[in-house]
Amino acid sequence: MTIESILAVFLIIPVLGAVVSTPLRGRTSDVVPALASIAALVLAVVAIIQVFPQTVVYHFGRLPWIHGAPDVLGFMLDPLSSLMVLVITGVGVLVVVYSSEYMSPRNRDHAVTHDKGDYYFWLLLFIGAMVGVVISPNLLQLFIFWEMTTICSWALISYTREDVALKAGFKAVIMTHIGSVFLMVAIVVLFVSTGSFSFDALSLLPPETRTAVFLLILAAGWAKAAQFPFFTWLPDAMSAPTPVSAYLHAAAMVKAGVYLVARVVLANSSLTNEVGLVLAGMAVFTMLVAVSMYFFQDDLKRLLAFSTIANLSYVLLGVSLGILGSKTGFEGGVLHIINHAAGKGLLFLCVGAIAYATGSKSISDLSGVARRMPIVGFGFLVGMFAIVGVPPLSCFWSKFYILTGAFEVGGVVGTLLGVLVAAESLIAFAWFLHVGQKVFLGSVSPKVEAATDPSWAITVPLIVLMVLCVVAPLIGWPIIQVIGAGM
Amino acid sequence: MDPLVVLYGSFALLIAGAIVTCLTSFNARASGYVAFVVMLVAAVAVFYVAARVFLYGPIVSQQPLLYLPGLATSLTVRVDQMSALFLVLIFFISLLATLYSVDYMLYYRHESVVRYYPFLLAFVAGMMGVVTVSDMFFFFVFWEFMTLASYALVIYEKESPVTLRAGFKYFFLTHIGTICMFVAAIILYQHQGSFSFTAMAAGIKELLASNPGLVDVILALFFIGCATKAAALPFGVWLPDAHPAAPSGVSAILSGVMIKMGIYGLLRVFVEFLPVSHTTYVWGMIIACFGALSLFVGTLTALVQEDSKRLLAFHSIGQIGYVLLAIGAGLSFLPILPAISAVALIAGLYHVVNHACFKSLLFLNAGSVMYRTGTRELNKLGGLAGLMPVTAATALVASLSIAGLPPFNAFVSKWLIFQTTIIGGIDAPLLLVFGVAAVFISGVTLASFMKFMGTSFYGKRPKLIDSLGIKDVPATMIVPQVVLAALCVALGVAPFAVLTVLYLALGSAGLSSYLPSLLSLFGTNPIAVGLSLGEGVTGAWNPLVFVVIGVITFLVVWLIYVDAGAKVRITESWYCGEHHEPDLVKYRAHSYYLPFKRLFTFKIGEHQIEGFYPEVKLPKITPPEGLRRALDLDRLLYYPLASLIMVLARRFSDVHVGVAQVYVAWMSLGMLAAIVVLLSLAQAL
Repeated sequence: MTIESILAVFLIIPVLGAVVSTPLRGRTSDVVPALASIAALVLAVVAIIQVFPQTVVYHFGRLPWIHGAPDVLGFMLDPLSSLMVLVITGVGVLVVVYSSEYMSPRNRDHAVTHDKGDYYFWLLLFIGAMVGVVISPNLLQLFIFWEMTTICSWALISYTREDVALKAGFKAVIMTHIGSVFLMVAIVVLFVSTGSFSFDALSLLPPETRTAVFLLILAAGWAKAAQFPFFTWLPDAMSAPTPVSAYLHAAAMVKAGVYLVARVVLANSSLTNEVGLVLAGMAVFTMLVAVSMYFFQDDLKRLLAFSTIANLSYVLLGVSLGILGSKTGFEGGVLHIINHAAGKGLLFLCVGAIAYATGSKSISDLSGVARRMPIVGFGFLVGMFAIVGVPPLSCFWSKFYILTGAFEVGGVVGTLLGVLVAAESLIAFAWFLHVGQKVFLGSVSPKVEAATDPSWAITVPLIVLMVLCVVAPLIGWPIIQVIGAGM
Repeated sequence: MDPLVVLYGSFALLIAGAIVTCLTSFNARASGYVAFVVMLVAAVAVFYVAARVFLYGPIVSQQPLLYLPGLATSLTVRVDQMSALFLVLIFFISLLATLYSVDYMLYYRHESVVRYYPFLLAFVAGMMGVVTVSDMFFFFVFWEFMTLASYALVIYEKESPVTLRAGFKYFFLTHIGTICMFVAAIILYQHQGSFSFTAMAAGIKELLASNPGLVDVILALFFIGCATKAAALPFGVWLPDAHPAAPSGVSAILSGVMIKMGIYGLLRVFVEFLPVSHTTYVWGMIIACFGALSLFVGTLTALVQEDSKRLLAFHSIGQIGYVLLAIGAGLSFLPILPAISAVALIAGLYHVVNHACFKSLLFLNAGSVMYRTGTRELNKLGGLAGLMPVTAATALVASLSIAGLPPFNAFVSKWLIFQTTIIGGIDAPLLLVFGVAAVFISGVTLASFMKFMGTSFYGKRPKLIDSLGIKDVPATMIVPQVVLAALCVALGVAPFAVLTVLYLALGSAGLSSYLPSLLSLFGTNPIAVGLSLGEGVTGAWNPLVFVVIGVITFLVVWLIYVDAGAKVRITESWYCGEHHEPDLVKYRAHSYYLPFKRLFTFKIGEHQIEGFYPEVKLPKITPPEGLRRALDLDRLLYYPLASLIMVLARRFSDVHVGVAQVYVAWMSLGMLAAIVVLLSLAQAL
């Protein structure tokens, strides 16, 4: 198969799987989505092996009603997309497999007794939409898939149809859509001024317009990636079923936001230091706001949501350091995408397993979980140390890159950024260690008394993610090496 | 065989062993033996490598094992004599501690060893990495890996809140230190573009010329990181909690070896990276100050402890104080008095080795007592020497060693420390004061261990202990104790050999041009030490002479005793005719040194201060509610915006009255407005 057809099938498979699995009932309704997601992962790996470390851009059509338009439909697979594709499909498989057990009547938190066809429809469509976002060769096509992810996340967040869930889904749509409006304006301005939708067209703009367009794109990224001042939708989105939260945080939706910013920065070396400073400043500010919110959270999932916000700020900080002249920082930011995916995916799935077995996600209700659920407890602690950055686990490596990048930028700004990042890292470390000890160690609380480790469909994804918490940087390094060489 | 391959092999073996012990954890003893065999093979391999290094010089890896794209850093291995010295220490103590654990871990009936042996092996692997890499970044990687593994071991009894608090304190405080070191290394990286040790050294040298203020910042950050690990006060407040919390085998490694990693780091930074200059002098004095503080406060606090392992933990702080004092003195004399400086640095290293032996042994002794009696409270113990003779004998050896009595090992190192600080102190009065304080503290140490021995092994045996039916610990726990006790003696009676090894180790840390020759420092007699600190001999110590005199004196006394033939009467103690249970009339740990305790117990306002080491009760953190309100963006942004839109929409809906005529009117008005605008635009164009 040629690479173009592989990519085409790759894009279609999840969508097809979504449609096929909707009417299914019983056991097959779990098997077919899992197969579809595994097929997507296999195709992704095959495509990446064929392409990497080159870049493939393939256009197959244009929209006739756009006058004088360039090619707007096609695929692109470069190292950055490859990394995203691996994260999206890899976490996708684990989440789908995990869902088969989590979305069942045995779940003590939210027993699911009805058919799950619509759930898998939205989940697989989500995977497809995210794949579409990251293999789009231009901003217009990206925007189309971008909005698809918004719809999918709305449907999945509101999945339980409870009042809270409906409100949360609505809020997520509104807030991310505000961002999308900015993105749309940016794309229109870009097209009108340059006649192109491509990522590197920003460099063709006059400097003032370029800055304005970039800031609009940034705003879109901030909204999607749950950064200040848009981040409030993400903690509320916790009313989604936990596998969806895991997917939303680790691989999809919020990662689309950072991907967009990273993509535009990577394609345009002409961005000025001022916008770099804006991005860096907002990233560090968001980080500190998010870390301050840790102390008020009693719901484990909400705590993890704020941790996601802070970690996406790390990615954006890394990207901004790239604008400010530190290649190390940019590489660290990109590496953090995959490292964070492994750690945060694991954390969410562990919290889901706890909710599944105990019916509670409240920090104050839970204690001594590791005694009753050793695999889940160990998994959470691994994910926790991965996220706070303890070697040899994943986020340590990328955080160190970003810290080094900040000091590499030098001057007062670089040093200040570095010190603030170190401070955030320390506070997050302390709080997570505290929460981890409180929930997983200590004596067994009444809620946990009857809990046991769930069946294989939940534990196997956890074990895979534990392994990934160690090997994720090994996957990321060759990719960021190519990205760094191209900068 | 290529020593590098042997080294990599033993590291891989440790990691493989960690995985295997996970799988065998259903059987605690089997797991213990697997871990011991793995440790044994790895240790033999590492001893071979260390021997090669001492005989033929450093081993350097030609090819980096791992290269990090974008960070200009690679995993390179360099084993010089300094690394080899620490490698031997790590593996020797860890091997004995693992053997000791085989039976000791049966003490914890409700906890699985799956959280013990794998982490123990990983911990040793981490320490091994710390002392063998020659790249700062990977130094950090192994450093934190070591901390992570040791944290898991400290919280082994994970259901006890005290243990969890200790674990948190330990990991958090050492993490602060590590981040400080990150920043220091990154600043140097920024100037040199590499994390290799040579780049770090070059960076410091360059900055010393261009920006000495920044060098002080960097050194301070490195010092905080290493001193936190080495548990120098005030950074080492984690130690008195963490060491007692861990299982005894781990306490032995933590106290015997792991805190020495801080010393290793300090030596690398301050001896190898920092060129000899006035900065060396200043930082030597600073390190000596922290050393003096630690030895003074640590040991005096140990005097009033009533928990055996906590008592030992405070002595670890005190003994690290000796090491830091020696290293500080050595550094500060480096630019002016190379002979004194060399002896001081060697004395510091000597004390590192000695402390590893006797403190590990003491923790194993305390563990043995706990294994049999189930308690660490000295108040409840007593008279165990009759029941556990070997443990008692080895504890006595260790106690005499730590107190610095000849012919045991710490006598030599302490003697050298006193010599250098006091003789060198003629030029630096502060160090003279510290030296005298160290002599005094040595006496305090003896007093403290009289208490330790007197309350646990000697004296009346409480009824409770009698009722337990105790015998000495099993062979796997006896052997490590006996080996360590023998080592305490051996290192004391063969000082010249030890000094030779330490001299080589120090020489490899970039000081070879400063060091006077070994023979000019310690004389030519291989069974004695003829110390010369500058011109002429300033001291001499021959352990054999001491031993011979000692033996002769004992013989004479014994002969007189035998010859006199006086009858020995063994009777019950007389309590003035009253009947008392032994428990009641026993001299308890609590009663020791009461005048001293009273002297340091006072009130400042509301705060009761007991001893030098005030227990700080951390207030429960309650973040201000105002912060939450201030950060509640929903309240500030989302809801006002949403309600604004709702209000506007409602206003707009007011226009929709449902009467067709009104709509037509609006339409005509709109059309009119549009026409006007268009016409005026056309006119303008």
